[in-house]
Amino acid sequence: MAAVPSEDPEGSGGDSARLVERIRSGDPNADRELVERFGRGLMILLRRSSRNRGDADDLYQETFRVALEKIRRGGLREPEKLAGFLAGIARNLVIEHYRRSSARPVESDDRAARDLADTATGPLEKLLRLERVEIVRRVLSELDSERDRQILFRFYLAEEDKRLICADLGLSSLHFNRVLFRARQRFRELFTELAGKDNGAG
Amino acid sequence: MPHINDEMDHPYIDDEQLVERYRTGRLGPEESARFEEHFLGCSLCQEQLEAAEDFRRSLADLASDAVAIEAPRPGGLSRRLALLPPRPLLALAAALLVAVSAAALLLLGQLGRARSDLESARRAAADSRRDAYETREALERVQRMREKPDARVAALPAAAVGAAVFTLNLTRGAGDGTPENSIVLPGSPEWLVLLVDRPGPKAIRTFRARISTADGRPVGDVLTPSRASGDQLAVALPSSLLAPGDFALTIEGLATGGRAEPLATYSFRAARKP
Repeated sequence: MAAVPSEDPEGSGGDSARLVERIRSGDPNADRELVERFGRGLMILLRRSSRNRGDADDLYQETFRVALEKIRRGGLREPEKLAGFLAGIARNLVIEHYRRSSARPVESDDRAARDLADTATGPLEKLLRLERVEIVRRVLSELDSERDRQILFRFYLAEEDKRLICADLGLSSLHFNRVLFRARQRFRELFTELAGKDNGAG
Repeated sequence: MPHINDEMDHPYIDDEQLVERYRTGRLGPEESARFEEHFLGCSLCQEQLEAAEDFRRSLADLASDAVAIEAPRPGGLSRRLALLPPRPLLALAAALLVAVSAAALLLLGQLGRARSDLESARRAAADSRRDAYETREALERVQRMREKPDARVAALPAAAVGAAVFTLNLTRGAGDGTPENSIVLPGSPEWLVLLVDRPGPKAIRTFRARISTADGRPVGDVLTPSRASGDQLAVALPSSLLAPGDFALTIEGLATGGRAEPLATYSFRAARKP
């Protein structure tokens, strides 16, 4: 597996503490920086916890609004734990949102239903879906062995446990990780390549 | 430089498959919360999460396409195998068998509900199969247009399906009043898709779109763009909203607190198909 950096400068506690200080002192750029730094991760969290994208988008705005309000009031006692603070607010807002609307947040069993709700319906979405399917077909055809294809199907579709698959197929944990990592990377590469063509033609 | 969560380092995340287990809801509440605190500030894990979800969904789409096409036709497997390249298809069929068998064991307790859902899905899939083939034709048309960008407008009248796609360039300055872009309105109502480069800072995730006439009168309701391939937004609207004339498409970003800020304007001229 490719080496993974063990640090992420964007997420450092020192930077977070400085950012919190700037928000408190009224720096007009600090609010925007908060959104830029944590927006993408927060959206991933909310999309996973929400029943649909509309709810996630609403809760995204609300999370930042509540967070900024609390930070300005001095409600964040450990500024270096800014990420945890934001995640906590987001989780609470999700729970509160679905309590008010008498609906549960998304549990793992509900993912199929959410997938169905998010199923591509518009013409453009259908085109994009077909493109993605073609890409994944190519990724599968490029795999070294039938066993590697089995790993992907059993893990992603049947959602079998990694240990069970490894034991069943006589694989090491490292090999398993490598197959998943390479497949995802290749998928990403091909998708980016296609997006590049799109931009080139537009 | 200190890590956001010293215990949650990447070798641990990889070895424990936290990305996948989080995505599938197989982490306990505490570990899930710790991972969220980590990936909120970790662009690498964010990329892994997005890639994993895109990959899983595409894999599921591939499998469902194969099942949907296969299901209504007895003896259709041999026909399907004959139509498509053999090696990937055989691999796919084998892998699907593995997946279906394993899933059946895992979901035995929910079999009744699953069977009912599956029947509904199969019926829906059969209904939409014709659409899928038509959409494939549209995809091929778009790919041809990619290869020959100048043929884009010329190719549009041949559109036999769903939507006509137009890429709009940003309007800079007042100019001489002539719109920078043009679109062709179809003879009968169909969907139009306006593609624009995603404007504004990357952090803005929520957009809305407004279309107005040249003298500023709004056309239709506020529209919600969706993300298209690459760094683009797609605004879909029924062609019946537009009459021949000049228009402006304004993309707004929703800032913190729900405040909308105009990010970019694209002027375009709509003309009827000759």
